[in-house]
Amino acid sequence: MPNYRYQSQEYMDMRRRNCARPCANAQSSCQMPREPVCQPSCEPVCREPEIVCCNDKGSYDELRGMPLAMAYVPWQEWCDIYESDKGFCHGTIFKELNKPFQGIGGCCK
Amino acid sequence: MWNYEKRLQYPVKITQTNPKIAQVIISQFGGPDGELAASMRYLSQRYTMPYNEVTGILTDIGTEELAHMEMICAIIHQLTRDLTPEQIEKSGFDKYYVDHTLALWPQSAGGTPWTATYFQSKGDPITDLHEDMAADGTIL
Amino acid sequence: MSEQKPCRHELMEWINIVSFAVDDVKLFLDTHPCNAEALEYFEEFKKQRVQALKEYAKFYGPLTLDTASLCEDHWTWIHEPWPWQEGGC
Repeated sequence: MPNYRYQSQEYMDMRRRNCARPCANAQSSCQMPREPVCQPSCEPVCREPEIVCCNDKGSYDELRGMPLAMAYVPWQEWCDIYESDKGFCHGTIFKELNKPFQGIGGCCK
Repeated sequence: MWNYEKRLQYPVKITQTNPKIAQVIISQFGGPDGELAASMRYLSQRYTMPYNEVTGILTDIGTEELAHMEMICAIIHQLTRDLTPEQIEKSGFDKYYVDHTLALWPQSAGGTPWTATYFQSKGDPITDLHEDMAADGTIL
Repeated sequence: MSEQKPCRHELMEWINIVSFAVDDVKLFLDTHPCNAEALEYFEEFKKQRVQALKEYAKFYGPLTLDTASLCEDHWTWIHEPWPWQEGGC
């Protein structure tokens, strides 16, 4: 089953280097925080031609570059397994999936 | 096909009957967000999934939801065991009792009979997986 | 040497625990069919489950049709308690 782009080595390398596309608005009046610019060491990985407007929120988006209007779900890894009796008690053997109900009356408190 | 194991996935031992709360819990059996709807959703969608991994997981989750349904039914059964006519009338359980006595019948707490309109199975894998996330999001 | 009869409640709790481990790893393996750690985990708990089910059937009657025995002179599958009854598990 293809896992579209998310786990490709190219994408993972880009994430690791925190690469982003450079801000097109080079004027000093731009108040938004500057995003990191691709370093030479990023080449040939960071070769997206698109320019990101400084009016973007500026915070790093892990799904940057992914197609719009789609839903994405992180890929689960095998890690943090409960002892069998604890897993049975929690209703899952995966610590990451133990999400106890916190709210009351249908809303979070 | 399906086999049956003669145990509940998690034990149910209710010591005190309570027909009032049984009327509410019955939604987890036959209501829109209940286990029967969950099971039928996954078991229906699996036929048109184009990937074995997804067909497999829908089959297995659908099967497990039947086991969850069994636990809910055990809860309701034990909550309504050996009720007196006074208890039945006083709790408001008489409205269910008149049509079903102490039998288990899939309906919501409000009395709506279980219906296939509680789930969707459209044949497009992305659509069906979104339906699954929306449905199980009620758990979260 | 006589075999000691295990506590029914404790053995049933053990069956529930190892069976749940098998159930959960099975779902993980459905989407991660080549994960070696998960496969190993599955094999280990499957082995324990099979052993526990056999033992339970020997002393208390079958929980699965695979463990329904021909040694008995009658069909024990239909014996109480059913899982949803008080005292059933």
